[in-house]
Amino acid sequence: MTQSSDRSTNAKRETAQGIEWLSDHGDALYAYARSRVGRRELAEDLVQETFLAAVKSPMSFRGDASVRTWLVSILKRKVVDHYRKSSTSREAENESFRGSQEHQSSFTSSGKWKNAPSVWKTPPEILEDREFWLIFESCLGKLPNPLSSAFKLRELDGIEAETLKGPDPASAGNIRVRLHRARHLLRSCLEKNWFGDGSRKRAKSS
Amino acid sequence: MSRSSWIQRVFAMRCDDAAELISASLDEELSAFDRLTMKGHLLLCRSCCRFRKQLSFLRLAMSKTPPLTGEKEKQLSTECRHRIERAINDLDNGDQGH
Repeated sequence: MTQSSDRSTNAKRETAQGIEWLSDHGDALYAYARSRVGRRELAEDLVQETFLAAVKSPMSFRGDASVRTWLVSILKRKVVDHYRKSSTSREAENESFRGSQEHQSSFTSSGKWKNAPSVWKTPPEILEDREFWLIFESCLGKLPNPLSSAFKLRELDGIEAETLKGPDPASAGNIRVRLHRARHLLRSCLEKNWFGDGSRKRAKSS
Repeated sequence: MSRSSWIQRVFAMRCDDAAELISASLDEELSAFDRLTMKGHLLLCRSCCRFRKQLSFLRLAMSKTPPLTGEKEKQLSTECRHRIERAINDLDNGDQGH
């Protein structure tokens, strides 16, 4: 009897805790999920799963990190799991760089550069330049999924490519190709909109 | 690998394949063979050298990306917030299945 009422008090406390977490961190988690997976419904599902997992295992939060960091780490694992699962089932077809659109737009059929990459002027101040970041963000936002997911998980979250490989050996090469295609798209977009001749003149003339 | 087969491979290497190795080298340790061939190609090819520098810059920029303006605007919808609240409450009610 006492045991079960203890349990129910605990459960109530955990529920209240969960609701509080949701109100304090819901938007931040959603923004993160949305940025990594793109689709709204999917992002919402992952956020929900994260809160449920957190409420079920409050003991794993030991206070050595902020609640936000802890919740994001749970969500991040869920995003990675989802990414790995979806790359085995949905996209199991053989992706190759040579067969991709990025290849066609950057290289000739004999593998030579169509437009040689230019020298990018990247002084340290560029990282303080708001205009640069606007262009950068817009280029990043144009990456299609699943390239965008793969690239952000790799570069923003520092997830190893090895971890992003699905369990299926047939899809092992996909992550390499996806990261490469994402980098190609991003560099082409920046070259065109920021570093390229026309855009550089505009930026430097001010 | 013998020196002559390495030289042959370096000269035969296509830029599109070199670019793929340059990108892969940011994510994994290349085999000695691939690494040496890539380095050899980079000695000969200015375009691929630039490409490599661009990719290094992309990595740097991604590591310094300020909070993206588009992301800050993203908010959990009221409907979804209520749904999650209900789901949390259901846990309390002993709905173990969900």
